[in-house]
Amino acid sequence: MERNNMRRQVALMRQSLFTQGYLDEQFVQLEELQDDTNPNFVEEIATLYYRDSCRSLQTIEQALEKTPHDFNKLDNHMHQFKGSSSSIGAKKVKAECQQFREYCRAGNGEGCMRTFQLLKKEHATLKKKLEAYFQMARQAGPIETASRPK
Amino acid sequence: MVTAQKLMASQAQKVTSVLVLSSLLIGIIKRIEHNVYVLAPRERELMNFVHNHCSESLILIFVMIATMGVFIFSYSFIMLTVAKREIHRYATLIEQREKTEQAERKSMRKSDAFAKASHDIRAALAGIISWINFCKDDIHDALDLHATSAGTTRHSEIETILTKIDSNLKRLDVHAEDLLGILNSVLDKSKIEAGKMVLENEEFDVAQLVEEVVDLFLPTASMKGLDVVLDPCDGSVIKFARVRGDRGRLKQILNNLLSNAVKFTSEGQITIRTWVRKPSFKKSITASRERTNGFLKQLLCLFNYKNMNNDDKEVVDGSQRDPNALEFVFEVDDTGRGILKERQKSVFEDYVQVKEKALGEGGTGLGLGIVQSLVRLMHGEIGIVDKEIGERGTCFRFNVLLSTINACEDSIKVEPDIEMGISDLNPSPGPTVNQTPIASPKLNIRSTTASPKVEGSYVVMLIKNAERRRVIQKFMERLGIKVSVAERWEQLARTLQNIKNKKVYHSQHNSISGIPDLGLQDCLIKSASCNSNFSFNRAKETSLMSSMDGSTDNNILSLFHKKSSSSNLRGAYDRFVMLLIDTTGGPLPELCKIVNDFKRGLQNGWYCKVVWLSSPFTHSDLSFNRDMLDGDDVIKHKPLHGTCLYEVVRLLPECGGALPKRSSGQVASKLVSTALGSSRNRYIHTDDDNSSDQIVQESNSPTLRHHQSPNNIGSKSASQSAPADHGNKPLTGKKILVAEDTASLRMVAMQALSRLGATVKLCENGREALDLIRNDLLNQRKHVYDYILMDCQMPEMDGFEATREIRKEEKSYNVRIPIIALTAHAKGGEETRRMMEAGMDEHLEKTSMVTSLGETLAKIDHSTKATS
Repeated sequence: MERNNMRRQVALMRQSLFTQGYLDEQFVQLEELQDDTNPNFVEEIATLYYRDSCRSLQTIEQALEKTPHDFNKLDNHMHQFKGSSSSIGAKKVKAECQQFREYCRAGNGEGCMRTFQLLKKEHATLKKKLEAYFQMARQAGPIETASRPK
Repeated sequence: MVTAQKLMASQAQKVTSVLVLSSLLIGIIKRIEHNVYVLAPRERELMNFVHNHCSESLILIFVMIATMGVFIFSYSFIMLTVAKREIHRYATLIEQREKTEQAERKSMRKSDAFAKASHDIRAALAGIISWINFCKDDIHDALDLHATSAGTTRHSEIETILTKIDSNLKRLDVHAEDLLGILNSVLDKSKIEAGKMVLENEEFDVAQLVEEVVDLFLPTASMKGLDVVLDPCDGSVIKFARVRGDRGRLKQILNNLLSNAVKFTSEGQITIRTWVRKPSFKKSITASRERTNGFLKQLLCLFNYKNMNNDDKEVVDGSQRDPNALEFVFEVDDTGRGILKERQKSVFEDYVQVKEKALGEGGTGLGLGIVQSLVRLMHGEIGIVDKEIGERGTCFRFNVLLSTINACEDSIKVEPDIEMGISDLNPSPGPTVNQTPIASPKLNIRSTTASPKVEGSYVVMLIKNAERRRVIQKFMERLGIKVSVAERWEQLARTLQNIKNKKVYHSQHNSISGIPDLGLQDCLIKSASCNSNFSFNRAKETSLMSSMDGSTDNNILSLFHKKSSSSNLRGAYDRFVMLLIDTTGGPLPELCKIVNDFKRGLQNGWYCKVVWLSSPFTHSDLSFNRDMLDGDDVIKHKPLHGTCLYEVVRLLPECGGALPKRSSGQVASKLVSTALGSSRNRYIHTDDDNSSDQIVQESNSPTLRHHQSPNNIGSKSASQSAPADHGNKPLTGKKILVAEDTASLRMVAMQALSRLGATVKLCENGREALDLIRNDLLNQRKHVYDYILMDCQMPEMDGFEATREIRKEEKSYNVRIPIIALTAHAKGGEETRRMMEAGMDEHLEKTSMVTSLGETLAKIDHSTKATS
């Protein structure tokens, strides 16, 4: 009973992540790649992502602090970051990245900085949510299949 | 005192009586003389007189002598009795004094130890308090930050503070654990002293327990550069593995001894030996008995005043009560500092820690005292064994009595034709399962039914640690496998050459005959499945026991019986060679080269299997290029002892392993290289059930699957299925190189590709990819990989440039490898143009990598087929 409750909670949490727009299709693909031989695949990918992305964010932040802004470099960095974020399906983060790139292309330094703050916020929020989700998932035990969000 | 006085009195009496008598005698003689002189003239009368008187006086003299003798005898007897009692009293007095001294010392040491323990407790508590304070401060800081910087939320700073708090809490945890440990040992000690320690009684597997404990200490030991070797000696502990007793306490004992060994050793290795023997009813080791005066001791023995030890009686009673009980002897041998002879005895006394610059190595000194008490509770004894001259370190030996259950069956039905080579004498089509009864259960190898010209397997070992080498060699030779040893990697090539030229040197233990003894292997096989349904034949118990001295190797093993042989019919001249190579034994590329040369040079009928031994703790296999190996090869990431060793032995044909197929169209090797850390040390086993061959492949791979292993090499199924298993795994047998800088994407790519059945090699940027391809082309003049997945944006050298360079390299070899670009952009547009210019064949969006990979590759295949 306890198990089932937990599982239901986990499923609900997962659903909410999708409906609130934090995660997208890519995450589901990751879940599909997870199997018995690799039961914590998604969590490991997420951990790796966060490790790398923290570093990239710091690089971008440092680059932002240097004036005048080198939009080209910023754009490149952000391209990278966007790529890795899309790999785990971080939807909102990706959106912010896109926004950032637009500002870069427009040469709008202010806009970049603002977006960057929002980006970091989204990044941190998603991290917290994912951590909570994974922790609960671990407690609840393995779930049979990953179902697509409706 | 009273007796002394009496004695004096009687003495005086005697003396006086003697004096009186002697004076009487003298008087009489004088009288006789006088008479003689007086009556001298009257000769005849005189003579008569003298005669008469002579006889009387003779009688008198005899009587006097007799009484004197009696008196002397009783005198000495009384003296002896008195002396005995005196000595006894003296001895007890001395003993009492000793005991009181000992008790005083003990209590002094106890208070010292408690003071020390309290210090440690206080230190731990102080640590805890200070870390709590740090956490409080950090939280205050964080709250302040949050309060003040309401406008721009300084997330990152708060994050750093939170991580600081996290690490503080971790340290807190460490302190708390230490505290708990100290208090636990103190409590244990008081419990034992109060006599309230009760032993549990449960069934468990001794061999497994020892291996667990050894595994526990492997990380710490290897960090200090030590090796921990588990030596099964004569294999008796495997036979009698299932026992009933107190598992937790035994584990505690072993833990303690091992941790001491690791603590006080800085180089070399620690060996743990176990064997079983018939329980002896006398205490062999009395390290803790303190005897004072040797002379007194001898006297006491002489006068039969031995100290009747209650424990002795208990041992006798205990084992008389339990006929199943066997004595399990454990030895923990290290090559560390050693303990001086004088201090050896005192080590077991409670609360003593032989310091000698043991700074930084903690411990309350309670450990060995508890260990001794526990061992004694289990009707055993513990002591220090003297090592040979020239060997340093300490060797602790202890024995416990445990009652065995379900020991291996001593069946009369032993396979007589254990020889594999029977096939050349007697070609039989199917598995040879002859269950002819043999007369004596002790079907020893000594029996001469064996034909010595059996071709057994050869094993060549290159193992760095000398002790481990010796253990493994002994073990295998006991099983009748011929072992050649190369001590250094330079000698490896020569040794292999010798094998090839059939100049094998027979090991001494194998002198009796060439039959591999398979009984032990059977038990090993059974032990893996942990389902030993053997019943112990009681009638033969005594004879078995008597033969189980551990001194004659072959006896014990012959008692096992072999199950129906999983016959791998080999031709008459077949040879099987297994190479056990320690990856730290030499430079890896060189080793691989030697091995590959050997394999290439093998004649027909020879089979070779290589087992690479590496450790998850040494980082030597970071550069371990798994693609250098065959699919056949097995990699073991655990040290070669215990269950790991048994599995490796089982790989040999006579022990149930399968012959590797020689065809080059191998079933896809499922070894996948990972770039990830050691958190992935998952060992996936396949255990056989009863009859079929087993191949155990262990690797660091996260994708090795259960259901695939029967499909793997050398299965009994007749036909070897072709590599392509199209429905499920379209990429089976393909090797793919992935170049991608983002770690998470690398991992995703690897997982996705492996699921589709491919072997994946990862690299981080264009330069690495280029180097790999270049090397392959140089060494093998053709591409090793079937496809390359190249990320476009990478540091150092991006995808486009790498592709250009690779195309340039390819020109001289006239090959072309399909390169697929991975891009985060959408298809079409400028990116595509750049790709085509650089020489890429297809491109794939990162986001749809998983789904469209298959079709993209299929497209490439089609186009290459069309063009070729």
